[in-house]
Amino acid sequence: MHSSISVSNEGNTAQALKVLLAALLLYCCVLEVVAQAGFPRLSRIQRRIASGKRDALALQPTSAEGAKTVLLLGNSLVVHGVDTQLLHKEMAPRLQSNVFAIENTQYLDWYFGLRRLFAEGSHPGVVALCLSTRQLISKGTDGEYFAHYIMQGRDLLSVRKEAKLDVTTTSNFFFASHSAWLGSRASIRNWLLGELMPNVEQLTAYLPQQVSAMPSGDVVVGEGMRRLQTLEALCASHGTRFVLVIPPSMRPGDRSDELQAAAESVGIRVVIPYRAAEMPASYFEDGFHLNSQGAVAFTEKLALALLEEEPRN
Amino acid sequence: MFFDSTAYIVFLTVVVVIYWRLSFRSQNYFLLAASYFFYGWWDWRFLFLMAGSTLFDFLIARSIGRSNDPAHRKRLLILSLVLNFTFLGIFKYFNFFVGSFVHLTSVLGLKNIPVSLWSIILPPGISFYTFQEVAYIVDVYQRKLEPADSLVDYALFISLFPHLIAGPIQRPSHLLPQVQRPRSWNSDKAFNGLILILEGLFRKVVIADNCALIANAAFDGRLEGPNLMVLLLGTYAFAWQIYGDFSGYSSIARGSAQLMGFHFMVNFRQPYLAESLQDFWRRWHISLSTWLRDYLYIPLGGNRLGSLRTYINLMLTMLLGGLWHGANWTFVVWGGIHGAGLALERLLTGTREVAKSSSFAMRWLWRIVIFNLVCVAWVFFRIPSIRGAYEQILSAGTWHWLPVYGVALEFLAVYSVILFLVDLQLEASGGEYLFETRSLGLRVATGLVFCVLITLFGANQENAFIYFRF
Repeated sequence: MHSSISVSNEGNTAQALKVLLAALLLYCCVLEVVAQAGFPRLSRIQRRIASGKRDALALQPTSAEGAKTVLLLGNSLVVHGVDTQLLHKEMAPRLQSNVFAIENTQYLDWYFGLRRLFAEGSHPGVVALCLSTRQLISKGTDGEYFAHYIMQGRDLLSVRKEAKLDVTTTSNFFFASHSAWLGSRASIRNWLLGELMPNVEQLTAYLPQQVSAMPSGDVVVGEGMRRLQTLEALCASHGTRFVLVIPPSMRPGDRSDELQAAAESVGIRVVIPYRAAEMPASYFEDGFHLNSQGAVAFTEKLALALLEEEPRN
Repeated sequence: MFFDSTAYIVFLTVVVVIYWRLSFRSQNYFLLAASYFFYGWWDWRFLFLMAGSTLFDFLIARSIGRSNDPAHRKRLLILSLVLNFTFLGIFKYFNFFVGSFVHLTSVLGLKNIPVSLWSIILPPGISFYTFQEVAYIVDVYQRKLEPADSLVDYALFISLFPHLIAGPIQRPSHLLPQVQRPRSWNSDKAFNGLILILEGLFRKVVIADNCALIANAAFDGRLEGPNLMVLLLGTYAFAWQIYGDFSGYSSIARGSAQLMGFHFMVNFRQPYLAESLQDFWRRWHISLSTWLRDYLYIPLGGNRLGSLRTYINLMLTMLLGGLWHGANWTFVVWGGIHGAGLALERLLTGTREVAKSSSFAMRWLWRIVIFNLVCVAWVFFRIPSIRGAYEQILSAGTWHWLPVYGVALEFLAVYSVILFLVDLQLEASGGEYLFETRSLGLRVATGLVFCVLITLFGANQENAFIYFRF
């Protein structure tokens, strides 16, 4: 199919094509640089995550003061539900706490995240992972953010197997693991939308998919135990003790008691500071996350439970 | 490999760069291999089905082309049609018909019929390449087209990756000659192709995926419905979602093809500016509507057999067109609404284009009426059960207001208005490409604006292109 345009027009279009391609390439480079350098400065959440990671990487089994180090990992349930200063105070001087929480993360994020933390030199005395039973057995990850900021590139095929990813998602993870822009684009878009349409925050509360019914006890205990044993083995291979912390839930029937009993029978510690539906509803901010009052109550009990779990030297 | 994935952008770049370094025949071999790789990306097992179907139709068409015996030619045509539609039927409609049969028998009081539903995975794009193969066989049978001499050329015509999964359904007379003749680099075509790709990505990830957030929340009951506001929000959001999604896919497909020197037919011409239902179907999914017209409506007799038969033909064509979209009675109802609307329109206005001779205000009034009529039909398209769709429509009588509805409306308005403005420009210019007749500087700037919008406002959730499942 030959074009009917004149030679000079063809020449102009060729020039325009080159300009457009060059501009697109340049724009992509700028995006990458902005995502690498600007995003952590722009985003308060990303600053908190970067600082949490820095601290986690610097951890050794005991602190300079001789306290055993505890790395508390988790998601928004930790961000909202744990008062970090109070936790630090309550556990001192025997234990020194460090909190590293990333929103939207679940089991797979933290299993592969821990592999990366260990590989990059983190060496805490205790790893306490705070996840609900549903999050423990979930196959989900935090998508491209996880691929860039949490997992190691060399774990991609294991992630594909564990998360049952299709080829397209696997390839998306591969590219995101090499590009800060791809890794952070969802967060940047949310931040921009919030800046341009402040009301949109009201809408986002209605957008998430509805939560499906809780799986049966057999499924929770079966899959949960397999995963707890994997985490325990990973931590043990780096000389670190592992504890699972189940955060408070408003709804009963989260199967945490059954999981705790099964875990204890094989020597894996599962800490449940508040049983499901034990904490008053007034301590919850949105039916899921704790408010400041709830955070204080949970943190105090969490500190006590971790101190009890940890034998005195 | 979805068109809006990074993998596709890398794949397309590599293919285009290698492609233009090859000689003509090598280009075809290379593109065929690339297209099969693209298809196998989803599930390599379906490659055998497509390859087998391609080989079969290639051989049948050659036999039809060589034969001068009308009866033999007809037998071959019927054999091909039966086999093509059998494959389509098994993979796409088996469970639908068996499920409907079981339901019917249970309604009639016959319980425990020993029929089990199979877990059949729908091969991607089977509806599209089957229709393309059928068009080829029929054209060869009607001697409108010479059968292809080369299996590679024919296989490439069927499987050329930009149209393989969700069209546009290419007419053999348009695409096959392009495959059979050498293609030369044309900067104009490539530039337009790149702009089309950017426009398509904008339509998909900025418009469709953001509107999908509202449509899904409304129809999945997350906006505390059903009530009139939820129905309106869900319906309008879905109307822009499906349009952005499918027209975006088509634009990326056309743009990708143009980077390799091919030209695909335009699949959408501002359908929400239609002034009648007939006009809507001249603008919406043009490759399917013209296929249905030429290979179903006209062979059924079209409008040549009297008024009643014309209405029946219209209805039949739209019902089958609806069923083509998916194995669910809701799609049949969707097709039925359009069929009834087209028949009624014909009954009231004949073949006159009423709106065309009306004043500016009346034309816009017609556009609004037609858009809303199309939206009512979309409810049946979107909701997976007739009862669910019916309940949603009934909820129009319930009024309830929440502050979040205002935010959702604002969110939806921002995205739909942008696409509406793009359509107004295309409608005013009458061109195939945005700002086609304006300066190159403006067009480069438009491409860049699309790129900025795609990268900064593309929705987070991964929505597969809706038409991939058809």
